[in-house]
Amino acid sequence: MIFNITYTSLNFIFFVLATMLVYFLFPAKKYKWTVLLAASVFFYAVAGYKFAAFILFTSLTTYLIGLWIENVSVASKALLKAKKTDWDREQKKAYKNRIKIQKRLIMTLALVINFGILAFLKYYNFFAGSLNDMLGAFGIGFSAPTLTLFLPLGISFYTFQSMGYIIDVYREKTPAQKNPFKLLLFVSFFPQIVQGPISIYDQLAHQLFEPHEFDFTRVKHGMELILWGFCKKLIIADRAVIPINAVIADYNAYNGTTLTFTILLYAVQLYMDFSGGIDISRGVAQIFGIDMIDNFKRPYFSKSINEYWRRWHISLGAWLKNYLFYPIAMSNVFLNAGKKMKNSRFGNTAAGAHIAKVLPTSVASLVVFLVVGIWHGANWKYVMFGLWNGVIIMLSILLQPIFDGWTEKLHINKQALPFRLFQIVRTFLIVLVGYVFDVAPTMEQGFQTIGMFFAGQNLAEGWNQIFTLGIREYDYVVILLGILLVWIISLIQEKHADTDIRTMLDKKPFIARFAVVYLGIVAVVVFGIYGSGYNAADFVYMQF
Amino acid sequence: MKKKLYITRTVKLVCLFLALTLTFGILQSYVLCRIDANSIRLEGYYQEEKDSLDVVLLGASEVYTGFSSGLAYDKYGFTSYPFASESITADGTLLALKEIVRTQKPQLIVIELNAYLYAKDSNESHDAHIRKLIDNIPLNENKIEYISNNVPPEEQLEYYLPLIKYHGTWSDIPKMPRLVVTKLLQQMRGTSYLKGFRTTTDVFKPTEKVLNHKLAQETGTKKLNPVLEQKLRDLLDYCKEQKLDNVVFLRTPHLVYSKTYDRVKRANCAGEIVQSYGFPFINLERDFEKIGINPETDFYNYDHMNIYGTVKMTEYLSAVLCRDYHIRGRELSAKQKENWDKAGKYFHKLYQYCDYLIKEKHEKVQLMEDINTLQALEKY
Repeated sequence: MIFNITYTSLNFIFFVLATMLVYFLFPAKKYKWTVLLAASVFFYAVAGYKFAAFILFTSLTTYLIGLWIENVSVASKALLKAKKTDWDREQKKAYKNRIKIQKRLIMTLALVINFGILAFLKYYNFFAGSLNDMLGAFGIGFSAPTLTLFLPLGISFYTFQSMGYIIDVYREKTPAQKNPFKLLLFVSFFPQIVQGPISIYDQLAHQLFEPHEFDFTRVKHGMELILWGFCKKLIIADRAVIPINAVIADYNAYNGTTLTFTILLYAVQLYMDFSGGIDISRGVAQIFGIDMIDNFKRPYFSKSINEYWRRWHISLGAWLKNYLFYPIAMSNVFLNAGKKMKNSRFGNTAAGAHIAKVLPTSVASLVVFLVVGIWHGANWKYVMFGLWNGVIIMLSILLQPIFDGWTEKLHINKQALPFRLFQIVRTFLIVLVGYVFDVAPTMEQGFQTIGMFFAGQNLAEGWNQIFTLGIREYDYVVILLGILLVWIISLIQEKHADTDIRTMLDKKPFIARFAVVYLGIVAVVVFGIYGSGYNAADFVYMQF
Repeated sequence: MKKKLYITRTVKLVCLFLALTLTFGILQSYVLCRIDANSIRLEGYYQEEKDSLDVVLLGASEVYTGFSSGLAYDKYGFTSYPFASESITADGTLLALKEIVRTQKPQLIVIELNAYLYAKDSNESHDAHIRKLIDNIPLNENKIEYISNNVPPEEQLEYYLPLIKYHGTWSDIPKMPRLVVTKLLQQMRGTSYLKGFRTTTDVFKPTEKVLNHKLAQETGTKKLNPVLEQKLRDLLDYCKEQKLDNVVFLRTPHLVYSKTYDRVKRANCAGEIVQSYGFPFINLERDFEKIGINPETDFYNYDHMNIYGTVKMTEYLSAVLCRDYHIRGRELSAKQKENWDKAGKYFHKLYQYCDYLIKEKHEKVQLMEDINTLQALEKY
């Protein structure tokens, strides 16, 4: 980094203000998008200049291959039109199949190149290490070398986003972008490059290229969202990360109570960090008239793990659903396997019929969550994290009739508040078990931690340990008050079906609006964790 | 209609901006900041009227614990002030000298050499010692130059907006009212009573064998740390460039034992360097007996004299300054005179209070220009 331009730095605020000024005063409306492109290039050059070649390469290959796929489509359609009368049905079908295979090969080329780069940089050492361990266990002396590799800023996010675009072009859901600079803007748009959200081309691109005039309310709403993101990130997340890091640094020194507390705190920190960062990203984009997808919908209010993953990191979930889950679940292999089972003797039983019906979905879910786990990091603990979520989802799909039977027999009203609360708590506990593998340094220590939830509790010792983790009692009070505030606002949003708090605020008297913004800014300045006395944590999802 | 909307929005934004500026200004100056003896002392220095001081002493804690401006005025009639900060760095000494030159035209500037006598140069990067000085210097070209030359670019903003650094001190607020009120009262008064003086009410009994009796004859030298020597030469070059012929260098008395004996030799070396540039050097460590200092009764720790030592050193040094450097008290306005008379009286009250606390064997306390001490002195 040439200088600090992380989203919560003063430099970033000045950078956004300067970009705003140029964007809204730019005389050539048609080319306003070039201001966003210049700002994005500048941001990337400052924040990750050493690896700029990677994002340029991905943009270039995405651009060229997108055009190539489209050219093949256009040419094939033209030929089919020309041969409309010359070719019979079979000839047309054969030609279409050939073209489909050709397009698929071209698309695969883009996927292999770009996911290959990501996989190599992110996972090479993991696989080399695992291979060495495995060969060592069999007494084979071969040793794959480990390399010093660095991850370019935002590589997971821009690779997924670019490849989503390629698949959409392949599926003819979107036309290929003819202007390489516009495509570069789509890939590198600065508010989303660090930690997403992973946008779909159709949803984002046109907004980037349209000229947006200054709109006071929109800019105000954008700034309010940024302020809210700052509150979550600087006041809560960066304060909570201090004890978490202290525990991780000396993981075996703490008892079950402290580890349980740490996992709970991690749930808070991760949500505040990631959602706070996304609020900042979305707020900045909104200032420029661009509505980015919201990545969170109060995930800790979920009543099932399935629902949790629909509310958490929504853009990644949507990407995986569109580009991985459906292709697997709808593939001939899975559909045929389901049909075979349905037609077998086992398929004639009630359980068999259900399993035959949901098998493609449940297995596809397991695969998707294995990918989610691996996406989170090159470590077996992340594989375990993905597997845990995948297995729970698979079991919940497969065992649904049994659960339904239980609730019926026990006369449980599924809509009653106590049952819904039970579902929320149960889901949260399942999520926490998954987080254990995020926090624990290794998979083995993750399993030990789960054991210590039950066998390593010592409240008095844990209480003392909690206050030796680098923050003071006052800081825990601030975290608690912060959680309370976020919880109240989440409840309001939950109750009023996604009510936009900022729109609600607009309807309040001036003095109330003034007080909220004033107190928000003062709270960030006074209670935020920043400055040289602290090492403000990078955004957690930046590492992915 | 649109025009009215624009005006309303602009007014609202300006109101928000002003409210935030005011809030952060107050927080930075009085609440989320470091108020301590250093800040109150330096605040007191800047309260002194321009060109109203006859002598300014520059240095570390030895200066503000060993010399009382109130006593010097009372006995010898000249005005003085310690532009001193706890463990001042060598870079800080140069900055402080530039500040003295900017704000006063004293007959004499007395520079204590402690900052240059460390065996290592780690004090130069000691954040707290740097900030204790720089945070209390108002924004001016000297401060900007210092920050540009000495602070990494990514940290410079924190020096201009200390709130960035000290915002996390909100949890100390319950302990702070004494110092906040002290600062406010001093600002309202427009002058300090103790003129930057600070002491601790204790009589130190050394556990090490004290070697001060050898110092009068000690002429040996030991080389200064190369980094610190260069900084001393930079200071001397500055004095030469600015044609400062009113600068005198000083070494105050300390309790010396085997571990700190090298420092005495380094002081001799520094004295030789200073003299080679044509500046006088007053080495009070050699004048222990002449001053009349008693190692058994006149210190509160190895490096700092207590109130009894202060009286002896202040009287001796003042006499030297008047005799050898012809310092004479200047003509004071009625208001200035009233303030300085008060400063003289306050020192005597402080002496009686310290004497009482020490003789009655009360628990040792730090006495400085804060409301608790000033209130206690009202009884005397």
